[in-house]
Amino acid sequence: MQILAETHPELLAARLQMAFTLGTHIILACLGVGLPVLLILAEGLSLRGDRVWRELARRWSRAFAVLFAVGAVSGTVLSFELGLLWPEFMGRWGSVIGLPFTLEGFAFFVEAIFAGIYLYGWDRLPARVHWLTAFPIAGAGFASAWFVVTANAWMNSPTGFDIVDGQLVNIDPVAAMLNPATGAQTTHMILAAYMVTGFLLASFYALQMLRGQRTPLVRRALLASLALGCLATPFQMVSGDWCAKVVARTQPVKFAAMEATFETTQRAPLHIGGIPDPKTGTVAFSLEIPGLLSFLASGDSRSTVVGLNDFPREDWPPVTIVHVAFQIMVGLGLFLLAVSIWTGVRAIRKTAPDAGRGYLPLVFLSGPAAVIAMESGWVVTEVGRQPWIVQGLMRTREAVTGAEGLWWILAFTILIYAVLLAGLWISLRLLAGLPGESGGA
Amino acid sequence: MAPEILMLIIALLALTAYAVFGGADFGAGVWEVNTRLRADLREKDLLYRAIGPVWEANHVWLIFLLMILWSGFPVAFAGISRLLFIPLFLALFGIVFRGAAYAFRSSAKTVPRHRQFWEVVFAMASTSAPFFMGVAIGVLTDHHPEIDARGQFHGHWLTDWIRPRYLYFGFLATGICVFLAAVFLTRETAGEGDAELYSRWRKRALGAGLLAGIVAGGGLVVVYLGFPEFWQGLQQRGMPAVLVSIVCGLGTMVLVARHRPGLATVTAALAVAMVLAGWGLGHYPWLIRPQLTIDNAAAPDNVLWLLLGCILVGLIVVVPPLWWLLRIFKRANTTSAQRFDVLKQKPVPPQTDDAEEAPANGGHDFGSQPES
Repeated sequence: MQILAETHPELLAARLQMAFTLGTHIILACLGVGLPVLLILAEGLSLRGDRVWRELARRWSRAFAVLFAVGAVSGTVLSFELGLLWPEFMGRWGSVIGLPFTLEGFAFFVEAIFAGIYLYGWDRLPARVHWLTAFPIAGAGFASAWFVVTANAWMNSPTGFDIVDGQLVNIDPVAAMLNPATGAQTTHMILAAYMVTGFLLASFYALQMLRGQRTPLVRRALLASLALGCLATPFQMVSGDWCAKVVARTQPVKFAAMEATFETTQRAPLHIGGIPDPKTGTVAFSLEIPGLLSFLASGDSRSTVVGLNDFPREDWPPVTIVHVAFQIMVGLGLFLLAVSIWTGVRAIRKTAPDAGRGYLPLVFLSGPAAVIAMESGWVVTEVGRQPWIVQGLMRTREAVTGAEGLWWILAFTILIYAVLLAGLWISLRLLAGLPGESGGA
Repeated sequence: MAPEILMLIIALLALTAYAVFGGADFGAGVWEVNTRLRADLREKDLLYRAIGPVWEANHVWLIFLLMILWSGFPVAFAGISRLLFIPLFLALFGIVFRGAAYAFRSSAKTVPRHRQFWEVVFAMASTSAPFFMGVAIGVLTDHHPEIDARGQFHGHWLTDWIRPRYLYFGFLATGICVFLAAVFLTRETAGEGDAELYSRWRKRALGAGLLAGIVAGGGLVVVYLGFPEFWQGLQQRGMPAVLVSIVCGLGTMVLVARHRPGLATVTAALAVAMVLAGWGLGHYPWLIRPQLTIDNAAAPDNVLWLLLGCILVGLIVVVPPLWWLLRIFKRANTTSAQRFDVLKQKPVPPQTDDAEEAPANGGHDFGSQPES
């Protein structure tokens, strides 16, 4: 990064700006994908006249409205930034990869329209019809996530065009959308969205319970959000494995950096933990399990894993950041798996959520854990692709705008987002304190 | 018809939808700058309700426009992004604060201090966003030899967008928003059967119409003096649209004066649409003069056709629910208006948000003198 900063002083500012705004938006986006599922669940359970579930659905719908509005705004920011910060990326690749963004626009539109109907329709539509309008919200949220992640997958494994004499020919946007990384990456992200939503809400209600609020509403809210998070987690492990195999195949440099593998080896060991040193090519303080990495990469413990030393130095991503972020993601993922299994055991034994002393604090930790795991995952994806913006085809420094003063814009943006997040925090707290039925939508 | 022309027409329609619906929303926010409006609860309640149904869907038009330009005309999009770096960032900050302020103030109904803060932010952001978007269009109208055929920018990024003739477009855009909002709100008040508010908004619509008309007429002079190349294009192709726009603008004034606010919203929207159509025709076939035309900046035909197909399917998916949303909201508004009438005679505890402030109005008569 030192070298890059010298050749292009504004590049780091642009990358930090993108990372900061995307990293903020992704949390809101996760809730936009996950909360509608919980709304369907809660309102569905209320249809037989249960007032507690209905009250819960109403509260969640108010929170959803605020989060959705702020998420729409932070999403608009991103759609501007793509062009303003990375004009060369957009100019060069727009015809290849513009399609999923256009489709995402429609998916977002559908989500916004049905969100409007749902929020204004509480007292104006028959109960069952109102419940049904939540399904398109969830479906459109799912679709937007899929389309957007498709575009990111393409940056990791670009397909759908040929380059002849430096010109793009035979452009096929559909093939670009369905690139080799799409399946694994979209699955991984959508499951992550459900986990983040489920565990964040569970975390909030676990805290309520720990503070002594053990009303039926809090108990059911905890159960419903835990159900979403815990059901998604085991599938996430499988999709994570799928992702690793795809990365090993399509981006061997990134894979080597994730696993801190410097030398190409047969029966490659898995490094658990540890801090890699790119200068010496060693990993300090790590636990090595022989052959496991080869097995994870290809399903065969005797296969060869290509190490970083086989690639030119200028194509390496920042190895330390990528490896550490990857370890954080996997570690927290395993922690969430443990929470999910414990929750499952307790559910089978019909243990009350507030019984026992260790459980609720652990659930409280699961929310931050899910968010940090998801952000770390994005660090692995994005930092792991550096120095490329389009793997193997365009370097990030070629894509960045020539405009100056990006550090100023970054400072402004951080300030503005601080105000926004403070406003969001206050609004959600006010909403949490409001009485239910009489508050309206 | 060539696919790139279809794409441009769709882009222009998206811009028009954003200008008409988003513009009316922005304009309502600009009206809130007026402190008397903010002191009068009934006025404020009207503004809140009027913005209600479409606010979260509205920026979709803008995002849609960006995405069409990006995927259909990537090189020009890169050029536009570089040329308009500062004004677009400023417009974006306006959009961000507006959206956030709208969301926060409605959830902060019970905390006056918190709510007032976001109201001020909302009004200021609503004014700055259309202003800088207008400036952006002004910049785009001009001749830019500093943008080359690959969309690279060789000018001064910080100050090149600041010219009086570009800033004029900012004032024009803001004026159009204020005018649109006043006409839409006149119809809204007429629909709710509130005679006093209606007569105020009718006067405001006439005043704003006069102002917007003067600024738009001045705009023609600015274009003639400051943008000679664009003026030529406008003369050759765009004059019919300009004439229709003038007729619609004048017609709107007559209709508002003659108490036909429903029809007036249609002519007002048409007047704005024709301004944009005139701009598009005057600018054709350039995206950025003098290097980038719709031919040399367009994506390959197969990509454009695919995009057009997707847009068609997307519209088929989107239009029915949008129609449903507007219908539900309209019905909701009429019922809330009836509740309003009932509450005026006999203040009973309200049931939902919409009516929460109504009893206060029934009790106290704020701002009974008409707005001038």
